[in-house]
Amino acid sequence: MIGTRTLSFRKLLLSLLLVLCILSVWALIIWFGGESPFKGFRYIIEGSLGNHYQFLSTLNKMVPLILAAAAVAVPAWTGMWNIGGEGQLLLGAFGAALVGFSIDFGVGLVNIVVALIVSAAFGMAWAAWPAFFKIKLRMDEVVTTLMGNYIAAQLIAYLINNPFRDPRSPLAQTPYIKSSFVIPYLFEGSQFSATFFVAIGMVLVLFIFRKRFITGYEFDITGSNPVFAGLSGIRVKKTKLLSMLIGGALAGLAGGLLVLGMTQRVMQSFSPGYGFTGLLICLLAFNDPLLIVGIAFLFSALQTGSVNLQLFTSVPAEISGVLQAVMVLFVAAFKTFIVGRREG
Amino acid sequence: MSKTYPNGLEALREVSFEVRKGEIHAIVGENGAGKSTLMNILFGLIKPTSGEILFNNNHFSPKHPSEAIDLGIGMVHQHFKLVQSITVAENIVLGMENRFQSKLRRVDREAMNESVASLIDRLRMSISPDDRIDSLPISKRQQVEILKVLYREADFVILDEPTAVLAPNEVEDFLEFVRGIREMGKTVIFISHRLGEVFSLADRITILRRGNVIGTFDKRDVDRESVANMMIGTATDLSEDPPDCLGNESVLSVEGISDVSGTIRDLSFQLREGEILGFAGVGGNGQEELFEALAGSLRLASGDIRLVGSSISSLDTLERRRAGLALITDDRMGKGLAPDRSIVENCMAGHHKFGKFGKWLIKDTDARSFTESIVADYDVRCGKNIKTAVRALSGGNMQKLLVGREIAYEPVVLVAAQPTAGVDVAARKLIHDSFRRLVKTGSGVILISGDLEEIMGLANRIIVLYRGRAVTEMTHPHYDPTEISYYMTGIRGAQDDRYSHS
Repeated sequence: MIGTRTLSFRKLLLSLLLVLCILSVWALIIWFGGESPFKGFRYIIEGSLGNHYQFLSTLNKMVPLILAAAAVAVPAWTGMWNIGGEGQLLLGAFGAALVGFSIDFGVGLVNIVVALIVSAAFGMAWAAWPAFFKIKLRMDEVVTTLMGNYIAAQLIAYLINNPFRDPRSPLAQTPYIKSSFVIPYLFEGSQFSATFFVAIGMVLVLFIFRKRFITGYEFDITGSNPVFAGLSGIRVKKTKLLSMLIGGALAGLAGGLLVLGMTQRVMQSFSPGYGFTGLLICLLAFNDPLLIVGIAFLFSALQTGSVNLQLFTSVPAEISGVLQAVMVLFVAAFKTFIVGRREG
Repeated sequence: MSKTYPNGLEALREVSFEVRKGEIHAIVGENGAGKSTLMNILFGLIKPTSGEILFNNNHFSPKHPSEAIDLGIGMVHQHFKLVQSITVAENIVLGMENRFQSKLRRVDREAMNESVASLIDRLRMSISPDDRIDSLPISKRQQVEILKVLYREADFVILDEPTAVLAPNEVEDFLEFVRGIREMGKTVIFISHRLGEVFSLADRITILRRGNVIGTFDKRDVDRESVANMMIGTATDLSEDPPDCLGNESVLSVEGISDVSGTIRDLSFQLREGEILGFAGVGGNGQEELFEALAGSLRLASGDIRLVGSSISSLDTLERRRAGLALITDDRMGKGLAPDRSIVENCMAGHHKFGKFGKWLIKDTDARSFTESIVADYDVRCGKNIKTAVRALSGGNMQKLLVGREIAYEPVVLVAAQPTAGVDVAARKLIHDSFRRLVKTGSGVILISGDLEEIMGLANRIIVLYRGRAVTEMTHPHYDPTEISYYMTGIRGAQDDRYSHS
């Protein structure tokens, strides 16, 4: 590993203070919601980790979050902002569904792999045009990727309403994918499937890519100082384009895994904002793939735990959104002190 | 007044001078002499380390530009701060438009235009309050910038290198305009290093060199030659001699290049093997553009660059490096290093394109040993930890790292811009020695430097740049610092500058 070493006692202390701040504000919010904070935390923890069913549910929810966060992180390494994870994920989901209900190669594994590759390609295509506009016309990718989300949502709404609507369904949704495309659940009574291992595998690949590969090194240098990168002979535009394409593919893959592993079709309001939650996770994880897994676990646990909280108390499950926001605000405030100011 | 920056740079050393009411007072000095620091202190942008200012006999220590503005001090920066899409009058009034607002917050445009027009008339200028900024030429925009200051009833106007952005034929017009300001009874500080203009305009001249005031003189008491001498400091230590290993073959030939920004004009030169070719000049006369044009980041409008016979004009930076070019930029933090990354990562940059650390996977041990050899050879002090972020190094160590990395290419031609700016004596010696060793192997070095002593001690030949042109060329040992300083300041050799001929 060739990165900088930046651990110090002061940073450790600040990190502890940060966690303390977040926990105390969380306690306050739960208390305002009309529940004793300790009980509240207990319900959240029990609801997310209490038994193996809940634990698997938490892990399963992590899959789209991890990949959507990675979709932001990889472009961020080169200094690009990919706010379009949501749209890329939708396109990817549709790509997987399209393959799943229309083609069949006869072998289950081949089917799944092809569908996932197509989903990644669809996501990549949806990231390609903002990247291209950025590089050729210097259009701000924040704007184009963000707007791309709304275009994608409308586009998918049209596709599942008209050309690809399931004729037997009263709702706007695609037909189910063929059973040979389905990634099976691994445990009875849980939606947990091999998709989790695909997501973790991707994170490991990204981690190794960044630390050990020449191209990963170029990503980091480009993001750290693009002028220097250019003067060193790194092709900055190409590198940025590549990072954006990888990001789009990861978001698309998230959509594909959701379809093959859970929903088995694309319907209206397919994503409850995975792309944006992924963005938050990535920000909290400072673009680091391993940290993304940790933060995604936390987010996911908060979501499953809050459902339990609602079940036993008067606190609504939507509280998880508020708790996540508190975390983001505090981390943003502490970031400068802990990792130092960084441009880019 | 003294100013020492937190990084230890002594920008000003107990400087003192006075400005009289109603005069045009020129402040001359090379880049880095401390002019900008001095003016920023006056304007409340920087706090001095020690010393005091008396303004109209009152103690004055502005903490913020607004305090300076309230006292009637106005500053015009080199870079314009105008809104392109609105009119001259709107730009000038911007920020005080409530003077022209009715109770319903409607701006009375006629009254606004009239008040601006009266100021324009007093200065006999040829712009209309209704002109849009983006329809005006640069020279007029600058006048608008000054009008903005005058409109706020500034009595003390600081002009920071105002002629740097002007074409030669616009300069006279501008100088006339500044004289008009003096006639209004205002005091003008005019910062420049173009002595022709200074002598045509100023009443008195203060000379700054390396953070010291050399003196303040009445224009009648000095001539351009003596000012140039005092400004550049021609009492140079010539103890160092350029290396003596000139070959016959040309390694780099530049044929009549002009860049697309229009700064470099029709520049030609040859670099032979084993030669160090120095480019002298006051900053901003095309040095940066020359570097960029050689590096491949600034496109050529015409001309050709050949490296050992084959044209590299159409190659990008990577291909030029592959052809044997190495580049030491003058901006180590901004362009030469990635300050947030480790020493290893900074050493690898560029070299990784040559497959030194593997084609796909990074070979850790190779990267480490490569870095360790640079750190050892160039005495980069980093506490033996090559994973330290480069930002944590001192300026001199950063520069040694940068130089070491570039020389490690074993380049055919090394282009070095300000290679020893802001480094201590020992680092400077080490860097110079590394250049001497490099040319012994038959490589050529282009040395672009504002430091005359460095160039004269190192270069076999010197070309002086003035306004993007090569105005003269001298060969070792026929160096005359006084003569060079005349060319650098445009007293000699500048055909297109009307103020250059005495």
